[in-house]
Amino acid sequence: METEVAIVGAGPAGLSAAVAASEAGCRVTIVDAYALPGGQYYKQMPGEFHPRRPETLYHDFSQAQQLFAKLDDHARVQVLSGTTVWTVQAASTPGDPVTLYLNTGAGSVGLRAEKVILAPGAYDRVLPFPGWDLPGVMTMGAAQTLVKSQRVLPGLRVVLSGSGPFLLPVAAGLAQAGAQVVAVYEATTPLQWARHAPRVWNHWDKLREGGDYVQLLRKQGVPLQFGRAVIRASGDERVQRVTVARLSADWQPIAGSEEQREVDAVCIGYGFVPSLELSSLLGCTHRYDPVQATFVVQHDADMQSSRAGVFVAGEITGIGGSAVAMPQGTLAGLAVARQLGRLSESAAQRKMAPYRKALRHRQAFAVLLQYLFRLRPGWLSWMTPETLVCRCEEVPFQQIEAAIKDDHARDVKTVKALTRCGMGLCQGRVCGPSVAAITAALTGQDPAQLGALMGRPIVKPITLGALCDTSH
Amino acid sequence: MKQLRVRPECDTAQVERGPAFPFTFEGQSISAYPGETIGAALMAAGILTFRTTRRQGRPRGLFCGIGLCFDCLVVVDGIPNQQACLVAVKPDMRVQVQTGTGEDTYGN
Repeated sequence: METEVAIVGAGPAGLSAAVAASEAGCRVTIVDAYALPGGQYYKQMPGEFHPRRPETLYHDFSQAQQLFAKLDDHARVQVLSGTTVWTVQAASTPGDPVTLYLNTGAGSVGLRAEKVILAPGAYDRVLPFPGWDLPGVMTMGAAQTLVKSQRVLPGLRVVLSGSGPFLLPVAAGLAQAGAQVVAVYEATTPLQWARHAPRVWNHWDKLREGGDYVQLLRKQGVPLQFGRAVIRASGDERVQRVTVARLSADWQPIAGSEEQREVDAVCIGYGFVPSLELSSLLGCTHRYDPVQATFVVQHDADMQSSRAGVFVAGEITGIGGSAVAMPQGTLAGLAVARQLGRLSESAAQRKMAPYRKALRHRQAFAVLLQYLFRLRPGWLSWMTPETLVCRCEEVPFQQIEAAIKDDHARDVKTVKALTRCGMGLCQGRVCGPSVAAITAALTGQDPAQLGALMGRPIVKPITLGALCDTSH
Repeated sequence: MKQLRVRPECDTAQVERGPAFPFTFEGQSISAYPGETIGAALMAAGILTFRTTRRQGRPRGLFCGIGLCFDCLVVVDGIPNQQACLVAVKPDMRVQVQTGTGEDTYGN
C-alpha cells in the first residue's frame, strides 16, 4: 500500500493532523490500534451501544463531534482501525519515503508513505508497590475505559491513588456511574502548589474544568485527600484491602500514619508515559525531561523530528493532554502539506499562526502541571524486596538491586540483560520507567545518561502466522 | 450478585444495549451484551482472574485496559494470547483462563 501521509494514532493529535493535511489536499492514511478512532481522550463507545445522550460522553463533546464530522467528510482520509504498526523501515536517505509494517489482524502489510506523523499518545505511569499485581488493581486509564466506553464498573468500593489532574475526571466518572469511591488520594498537596499560583493566571478555563470535577466529587460525598498514597494492596487472589499512608514532601511514607481500607478495586496513575516505540525505531532524537521523568521526542516549530519527513504530535513531545495535542496535530498536518507542495510558504504560515499562539498558551499550563505533579523519589521506598517491578517476567525489586549492587550493572540495558526486566510481552512499556528510576537511584547517576528500554525492532507482538501471511 | 454494569439511573449517557447473549468462561455460562469486550463482560460477572503467570502461577487480570500490558491474556476458542481488554465477546465464544504461555491449551 502507498499513501502520501501516514499518521499513527487516531487520538486528538492524529485526527487534527489528518484534518489539516487532508483539507490542504493531501492523501492521508491513519493507522490506529483500536476498533474506533478517538484515542483515549475521545474514546468512542462500541458501535453496538446506543447512547441516548451522547453529549454527556466527553467534556468537550462539540469539539469531538466536529473532529469526527470533518474526518467523515474527507474522501482523502482513510482510517485503518484495529491495526497496529509492528515495525518500521526508516528511509536510508533522509526525507525518502518510510515504510510502516501493519498488523491488520489478518496478516502483515507494508504501507509506504511520503511523510509520517507519529501521534501514538501515552499510557498511564504506575509505580510498583507491594500487591500492585493483584487482580483488581488497575490503571486509571483502564478504569476510565471500562466505565466510559464499556459501562462496567471496576468494582463497587474503589480507591484511586496517584498524582495529576487525571485523577479528578476518573473519580468523578466512577462516582457518577454508581461506584462507591472510598477516597481519592493525590500524592502532592495544595500547599506545595500554592507558590506557583500566579502562573495559573489566564488559564481559568482549565481551572474551572478541575473545579467542576471537585464539586462533583463533593456532591457525591467522595473524600479527596492530599499528601497520601496507596502503598500496599493485599488480598487472597484479588485485592481486598489497601494500606494508605501519609507522605512526606518527597513521598516517603510517614511512620505510624498507615491506615487500612476495604476495597474491591484500586486505580493507580502517576501521570503518563509517552509511547516512544516508533520514534525510537525511526532514529528520532529524544531528550530526557527530568520534570516528567521520561524521554520525549525533540522537534522543531513545525513539529518535524530530527528525521526529515517524520513529524510528531501530542503526548510523545511531552505530556500536555488534548489541549496541546490538537494544535500540535494541526501544525504537523499543515507542515506536511507544505513539504508536499500543497500549501505555499506564506499560506502555511498564515494558517499556522493562530495554532502556534494557542499552543504557546496551552503549553505554558501543561508545563506547570508537569511540574506540580512531578514524581518525588520517596516512592522507591514503597517497594519491599519481593515487590515485582517487571510484571511480565516477574522480576522482584531485590533482583534488580542485586544486578546493580552485586553484578555492577550501570545502565538500563545491562539491568535488563541480567534480570529479564522488560523482556516480556509488554516490552518494558509498564516497567521501563521504573527500572530506569531504580537504576538511576541505586547507581547515583543522572537518568538522562542511562538510556531507556526502547527501540525494539518489533514494536508490538505479532504471531508467526500473521508474519508469514504477508500481503504486499 | 454484585451489579457491576452501570445501572440505568446512574448512566448519564443512557446507553441502550442490544439483546444479551451467552458465552462460556471455564465452562460456566456468562451473559454479555453486543459490543462488550471479553474483559468487560468478565469483570461485570465478578471475574477478575483472566490468567496465571508463567513462573509463579500468580493470578492476573485487567491492568492497563488499553492493549499495552498483555496482563489480561485469555484463551479464546482454543487460541491463547488473546487480549481480553480489546477482543469483543461473541455469542457462544469459549473463553478459558490462560495458564502460563497458554501452550497446553492450544487448539483445545
